[in-house]
Amino acid sequence: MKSSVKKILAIEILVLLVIISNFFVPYLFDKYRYLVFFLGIGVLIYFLTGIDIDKTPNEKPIFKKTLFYIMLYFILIYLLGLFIGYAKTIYSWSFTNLVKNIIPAITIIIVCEVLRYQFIRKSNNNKIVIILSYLIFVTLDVVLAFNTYDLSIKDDLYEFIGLIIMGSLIKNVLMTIYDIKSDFYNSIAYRILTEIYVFIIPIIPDLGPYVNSVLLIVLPTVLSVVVFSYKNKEQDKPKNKRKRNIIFTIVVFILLLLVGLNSGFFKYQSLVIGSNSMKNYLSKGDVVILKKLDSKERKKLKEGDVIVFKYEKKLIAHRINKIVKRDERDFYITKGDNNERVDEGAIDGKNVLGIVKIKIKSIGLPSIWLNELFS
Amino acid sequence: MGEKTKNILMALLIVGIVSMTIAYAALTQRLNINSNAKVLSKNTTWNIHFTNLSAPTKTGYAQVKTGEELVLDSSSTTLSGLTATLSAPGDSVSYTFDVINEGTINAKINTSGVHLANVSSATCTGSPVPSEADCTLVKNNLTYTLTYANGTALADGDKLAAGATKSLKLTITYNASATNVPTNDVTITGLDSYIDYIQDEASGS
Repeated sequence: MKSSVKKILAIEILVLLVIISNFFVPYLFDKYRYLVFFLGIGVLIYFLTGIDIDKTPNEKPIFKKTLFYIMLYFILIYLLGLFIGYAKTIYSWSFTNLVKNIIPAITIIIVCEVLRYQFIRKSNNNKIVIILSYLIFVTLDVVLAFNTYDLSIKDDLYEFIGLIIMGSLIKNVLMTIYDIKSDFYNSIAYRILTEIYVFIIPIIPDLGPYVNSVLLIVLPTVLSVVVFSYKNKEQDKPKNKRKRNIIFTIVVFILLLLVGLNSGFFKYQSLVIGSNSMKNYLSKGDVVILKKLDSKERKKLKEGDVIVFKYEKKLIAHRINKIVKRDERDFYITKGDNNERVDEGAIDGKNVLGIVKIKIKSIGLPSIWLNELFS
Repeated sequence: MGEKTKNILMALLIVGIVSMTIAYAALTQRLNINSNAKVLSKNTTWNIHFTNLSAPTKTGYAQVKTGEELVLDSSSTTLSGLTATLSAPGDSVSYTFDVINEGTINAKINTSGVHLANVSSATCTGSPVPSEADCTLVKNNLTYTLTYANGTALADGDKLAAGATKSLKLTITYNASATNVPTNDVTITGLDSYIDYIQDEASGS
């Protein structure tokens, strides 16, 4: 191993240990102290091995591809927001706060990406150095967010895993590929475009933690494949390429269907049955696809239909036992097939979410197990 | 090697999406209602939420059944699930709780940021199903208030500094001056409220 590579490896181990120590001593470092620390590391690298900031010929073409996919991403999510709705950001628009929010964030991004680039460039393609560099920045993302979530609460834990851990794992793959294929200008551009917009744009599509988690995985994965494939010497044979495209299309279709049904944004939604109150027809762990009903469609409901309705803070899937009309409004008396008595109280029509159309046996059991694990 | 890497990336994508789907799959008999849209930002240091909910304080003939108490969303400033049965004029149910800013950004209540439940659009239920007249009677005589614990009204621009806590009080009352009561018990549900906080202009993060 070259001496410069050994020096970089030693510096990486030092950086990783400092970041990991933050798990044991919370609030030891905040993002501003990390900024100072990384600047110090940058100075150390400069004196030990010098700093590389050369541009590469791949930079512009890869930047164009990056810009294209990010713009496509924003167009898609803002179009989706027309159907789902938008949320306001919490950041103030005063000039002082714009400066106070954006300048530190951009500075940290630039310092981190230049540092990452130094690690990758000076690694001499040593895999351990590259992997350590990756681990440093994943651990940094996790440690900075660690204390803002209450991991004893299931929803916070899911958000932390989906938005922070999984998002960081794939984002840092992309940043590493940028540094291998081109230079740090592209990784800086990606991060600024995808992280700074929350400070500037007043409304953001309210996609919820599930869809946001999915998007945080999809965008950098797609870009990773695109950037990695750039000027890759390996070429598919036409027959293999066609076969791969077919498989790819099928997989994408299935994933889109999965996300669309689970998101609850569209006319059809999937639900996992969480109890055996409808046993023999629906068992715990079955998945149902329900069709959402508007007020006109609700009038076609009849006794015997299995509906999903909101009751207090729960979603219940039970069978209509009787329909009661009162003052030109419909109320539904419901009963679980496996229950002895009808449900207490009558369900107002506006609390009916939809009617069960399709049931799939046992496919939702992993969700049940996960829910019981954290209950 | 290139093909192998691409296949690994695609496999990771599939595993990631399927894992998130399993985790976030909506279950029957479990529903999270979040009427306050939540914006997610990277490295968030924004953490304002309700906490320390008290048991309900009831006056007169007011009832709150077990399992139908007010629910705080521990990750936001949303109140939901409040169900109260008020039978006579003067009946009331109240709760006290705290709003805490555990983030590092000073906050204030946004313009028109106090969103109280709209009693007129709340749901009436009961057994037997209440008539429209009973429902209207009860709604017209219901007062729903959210104030600080000392009785001061919440106002746009009220500050909540990073690390600060303030106590709030939620009260739902059947007006004492009402002269009529419903024929049967009327249970009011769907009284969801939230407070919308934003970054305080006086300081940044």
